[in-house]
Amino acid sequence: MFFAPRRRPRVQAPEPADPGDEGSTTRWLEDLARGDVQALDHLYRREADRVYRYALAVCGNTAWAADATQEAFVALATRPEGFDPARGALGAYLAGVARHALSARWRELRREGPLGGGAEAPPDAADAAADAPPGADVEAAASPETLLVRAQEVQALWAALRALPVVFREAVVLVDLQERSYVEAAQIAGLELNTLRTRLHRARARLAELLGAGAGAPRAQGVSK
Amino acid sequence: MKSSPVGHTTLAQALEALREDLAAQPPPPPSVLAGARRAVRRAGRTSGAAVPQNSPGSRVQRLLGRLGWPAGEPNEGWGAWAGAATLVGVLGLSGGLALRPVPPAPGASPVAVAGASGGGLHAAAADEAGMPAMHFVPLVSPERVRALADAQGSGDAAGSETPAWVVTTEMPQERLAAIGLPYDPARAAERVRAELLVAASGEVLAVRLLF
Repeated sequence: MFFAPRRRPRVQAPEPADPGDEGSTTRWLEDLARGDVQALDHLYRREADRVYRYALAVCGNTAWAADATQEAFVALATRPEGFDPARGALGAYLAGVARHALSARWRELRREGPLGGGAEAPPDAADAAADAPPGADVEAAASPETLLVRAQEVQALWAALRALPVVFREAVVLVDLQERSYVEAAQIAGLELNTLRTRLHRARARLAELLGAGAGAPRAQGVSK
Repeated sequence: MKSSPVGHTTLAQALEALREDLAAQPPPPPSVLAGARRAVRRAGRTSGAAVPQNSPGSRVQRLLGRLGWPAGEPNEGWGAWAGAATLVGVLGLSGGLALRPVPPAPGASPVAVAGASGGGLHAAAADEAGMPAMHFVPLVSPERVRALADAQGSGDAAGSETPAWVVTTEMPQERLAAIGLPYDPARAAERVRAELLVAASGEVLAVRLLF
């Protein structure tokens, strides 16, 4: 089976926060600290999708991803002082909290025994594929057969990604799928920069092996990305 | 080499496909934001740091907090007043709706059931101008009347009992026999004016004749 690349434009990297945006973030955070729900709404609209999709890509379970996202925003709402702008962007902080929530959940499952699975065996990749909105990326000219084949291919790709150890998978999700900078990805994963780069390199190699495509791996990205 | 799930695709293409698929995923469910909002409100209610301790709003906030009612934004003391006004309005409206009985027939007027005493009911309805009237004669058991009076006295708006209504009507005299009152058979066909004390359920609780 040949996986045909799509013709859709490449997903744009999230726009970097401009100074005005940073100012509004600070103001919303101050308002949030005073209990302003509207400030939460602003921050949520801006950050929630990326946090949720990061969690979803890592764990493959919509319910877990939703819980982790909620925990991140609850943490921000109840302890806004926990976010230090000097240490990174708000999105990175929220993703870090979500990651912590997912890790805690996996630890719980590991303690619960065989039924819970293990840290390296998060919920089935099929969950995410099944949860994907039908026809979410439908192109007008695509025939049903084409769409079906494409959906199966994407599902197989997710399965391959989730076959990676969590720490490798996470690196791929953060850098390659969400196009975060190495610095931000390292911050979210709680790693040294070099550790992240090493993991990413190994993760790509493993993924390429799983896909049977040793060539064509993305070039290493600079730290300044 | 292991079998590939996607044939000869390159890693770059695979990542591109995954990236697009991830971006196409729906946003988090609305419950996520709702849960975070609740946390903000809880945090605002428990911290209360920005509310002046002696402001009127802070007192209302404490009251609402004891009632388990979200106190609104703690940085605006008057916001709590608005919350209190809303609370009062909602309670008043809901109470009014709950107390609203079945629409009465034309000529009906609400009464306060005072309970059974001395063998008859005392209704507060205004008599027809210049019309002498007897006391209400109960047509139900005293327990039923007491229950109705108690429910009304305790303001049990949400209860099953609602105020009774007085409905003015006319009926043949022979009907008086049915309620245990004497009547003149020679005038059985004549009609008499009467007031019926009717519960919201339609049950006739008592009757009195108007002369």
